[in-house]
Amino acid sequence: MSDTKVSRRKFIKYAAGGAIIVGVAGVGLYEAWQNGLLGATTKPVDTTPFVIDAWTSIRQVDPPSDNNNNAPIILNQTYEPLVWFDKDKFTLIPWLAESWKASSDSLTYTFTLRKGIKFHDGTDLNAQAVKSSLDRTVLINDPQSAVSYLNNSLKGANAYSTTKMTDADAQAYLSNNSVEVVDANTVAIHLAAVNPVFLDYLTVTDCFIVSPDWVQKNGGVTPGKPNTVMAQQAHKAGTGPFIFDSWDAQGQTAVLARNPNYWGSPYNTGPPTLGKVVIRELPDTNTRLLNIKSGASDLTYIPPDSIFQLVDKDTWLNQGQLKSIASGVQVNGTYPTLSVRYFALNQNVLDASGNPKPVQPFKNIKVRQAMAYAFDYAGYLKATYNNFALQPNGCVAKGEFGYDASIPAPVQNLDMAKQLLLSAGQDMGFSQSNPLNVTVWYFVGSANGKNATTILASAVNALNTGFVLTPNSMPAGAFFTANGNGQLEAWVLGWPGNFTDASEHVGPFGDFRRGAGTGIAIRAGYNNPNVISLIDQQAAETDSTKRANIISQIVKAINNDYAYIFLDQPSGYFTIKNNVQGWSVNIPTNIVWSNFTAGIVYLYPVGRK
Amino acid sequence: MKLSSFILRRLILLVFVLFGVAVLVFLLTRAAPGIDPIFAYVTPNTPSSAYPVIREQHHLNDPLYVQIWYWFWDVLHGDLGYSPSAGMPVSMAAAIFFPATAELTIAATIISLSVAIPLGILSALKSNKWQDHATRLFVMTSSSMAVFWLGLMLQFVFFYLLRVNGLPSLPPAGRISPDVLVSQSITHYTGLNVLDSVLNGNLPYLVDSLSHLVLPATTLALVSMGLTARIMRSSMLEVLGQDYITMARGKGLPERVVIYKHAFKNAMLPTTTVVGLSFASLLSGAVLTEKIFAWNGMGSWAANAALANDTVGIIGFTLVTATIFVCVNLVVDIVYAILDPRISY
Repeated sequence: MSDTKVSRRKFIKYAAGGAIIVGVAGVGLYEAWQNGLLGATTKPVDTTPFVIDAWTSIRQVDPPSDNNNNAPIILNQTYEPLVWFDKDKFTLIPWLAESWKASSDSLTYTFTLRKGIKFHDGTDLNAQAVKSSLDRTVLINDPQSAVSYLNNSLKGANAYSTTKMTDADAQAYLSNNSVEVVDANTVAIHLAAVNPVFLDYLTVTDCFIVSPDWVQKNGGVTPGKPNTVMAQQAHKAGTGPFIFDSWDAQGQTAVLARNPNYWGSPYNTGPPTLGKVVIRELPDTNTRLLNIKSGASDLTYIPPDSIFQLVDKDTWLNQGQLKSIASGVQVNGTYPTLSVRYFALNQNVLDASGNPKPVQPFKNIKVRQAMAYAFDYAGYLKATYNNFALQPNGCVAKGEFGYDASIPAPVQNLDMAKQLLLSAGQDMGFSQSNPLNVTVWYFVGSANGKNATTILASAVNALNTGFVLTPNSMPAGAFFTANGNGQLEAWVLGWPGNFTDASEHVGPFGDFRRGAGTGIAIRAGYNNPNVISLIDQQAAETDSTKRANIISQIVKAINNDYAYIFLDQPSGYFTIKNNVQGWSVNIPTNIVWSNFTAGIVYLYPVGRK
Repeated sequence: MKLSSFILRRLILLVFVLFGVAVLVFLLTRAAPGIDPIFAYVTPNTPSSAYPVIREQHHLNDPLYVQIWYWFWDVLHGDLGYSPSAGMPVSMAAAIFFPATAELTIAATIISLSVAIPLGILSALKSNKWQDHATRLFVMTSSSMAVFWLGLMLQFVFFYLLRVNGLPSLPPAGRISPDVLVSQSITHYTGLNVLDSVLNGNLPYLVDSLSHLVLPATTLALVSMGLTARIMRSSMLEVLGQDYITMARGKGLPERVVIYKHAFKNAMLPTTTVVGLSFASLLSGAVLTEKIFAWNGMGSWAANAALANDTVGIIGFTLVTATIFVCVNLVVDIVYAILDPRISY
């Protein structure tokens, strides 16, 4: 018995040791509880603000009014969709949804939601929230957004978009129950027609899921009107790894705070380690450059014309490698973006009254073919992008579903160009003594357009065939009006994809039936019934192998018609501090209409070394 | 006429000025050849099938006088329209962007006057001496510099060079630092960060706001102070040649009294006009300075609206600018009366 007794000294020693262990464990558990890390990997929270110098204007921050353009840099971190892309890969995986199932007729998609996910305002993510979010996007129907994708999919949405969007019209749309609550965790989405890329549509920021309670308390839903409260204020209404803490509309600066209760994403990686993220608009490249070089920011984008202040020019141009020359800064890339820039050769130029002009310089395929042979592709990419761009082999961007690497890209051949133009001159009646003058257009401020038109005109005019090109520009407003009315002989523009599917490009470039808004073909007078038929076929084809094959045929057919010269597909990259790790690029949300950049950074699970 | 009646009359006139400006700008934006106003409301994603609805929503199919009528009717109901380029209603855009511009303008004007007026006086008093030549060289040089170049140089020296050498530096852009933004929170009463931080009693926010003002305000001040200094010099020279100044000197008044009590006030009359116009001009925005220093104000809004063919935004901006000019001119007229008792209204 005496052996089992514990002396007072030992008792005090054990008690003290036990108290220390319990105390330390208690503090640890408390911190873990505070940080929402119970059950997940414990990581220290980085309290230094992570600063992103944004390079584009963020005009508003409400998902339904977003055009998948600039606001995703904020929305990607704070909101989440039902399905999203698997990190840098282009495959779709369930995100807020646990799984999805398409009906046998492919007209209904049923999503089972993950359980236990909460919005930042503390309310539950459930089927009703998904329905409210998607219906809200359709009902607001902001023409500045990318809502047309949902309109083209959901039953009744397209019809609603062509109404005056009164309350009665809204009720008529809602009566379709196109987004149906099956039970608390199951939502069924009914489509108007078979759509093999519907799931891709759901990755667009307009389809991010927003807390309906928060919306109701902050401006609600008015059919046909953007919600200006949501658009210009921060909202704790997402489920993402960061909480949208504050938004300064004047300074276009967002502060995001770590979401300690984040569910961890499909990769189950716990809450983020960054405590605060500041995203601020800095439109001036030089200021962003000084900031990143001096360590005042963690991540930004520097365009190709200034990038050689950060990377060695010779190494890039000769070896294609990004060798940093700035201390503590790396340029990480390159990634293909989903944008394709093109030179359209209008086969049906219209006058101010909408009638075809008597002289149609690009009606003759020999002329169009000659333009494609005359263009100096390599020179253009170097002069315009310092080689931070690829030469496309057709209208489909590399990285999109349906891209066919076996299709050859055109090459410059001035002899062929001259022969074709001389032959076309005999057909059309132009010659050196009787030249045909044609204007090629770009809008004021478009460096790419200026370069492309100048390079083509220089090459063609040097052939001395009597076919004379004159580059010219007009202000953007007048340019787009004339372009929309089919009045420009030839022009340079870009066409970005909103997600990684070829439908983003084959439709606009090949489908003459599209209006001038989303259709390039009608503006370029390009009408090939075979191409249109193939476009319809791919849109209804649910077998991915067959569909990829049809898309390849479309690209080849458009190439064979020489309706366009495809100039470039910009390559993306980011400038980041060396100590930043774990970041990824969300290529699909890379759409920047005004200046083509690399994509939107997804800041989870970014941390510093 | 009493001053109050004068002010009232000018304010009534303001309504007619705004009406005229609005009609003129509306017609100009609509009459510009080849520009379809629908492009302000759509993106390349917008299907053509939605165009008719959008045209109808914004009355773009109606004759111009009907469009103007709808616009005025909305204005009378307090709705200046929605500016797509700003992503918000015009009234909200003006309320958000104007305080930023006002803060920058006030700071730039204070810096400009603090340097230009003494330099102008010095130049006049030391006419054709080395001080005059040095002053002239300084103001002409600063006025001749391209604003974007000057801004970039100030950023490079006072931010980058100081920072990379481990010295205290000035912020290169924006209105508040990220670390202050995440650690301090204030209530924005006026939208002027400096004033708001004082009203909140938040010293770190005040210091940071003031430091952000230094480079953009100095850039604007340097570019605009030349004219003020030159006008001040010539006015001062003119006044100093007047008989009453000779008489004051003859009476044996100290030179300091002659200059600052008798000459200065009268010399300020033409300078006030120039300063007023310059102030109003700056209040309507300085596009390049705002862009370089990421100081989104009236200038940035106007530039974005013009580039996006946002006619609603352009008209809204023009109305705000017209109001500013009329009000500043009114203030200048009142200051005239204070400076020169002979002037009455």
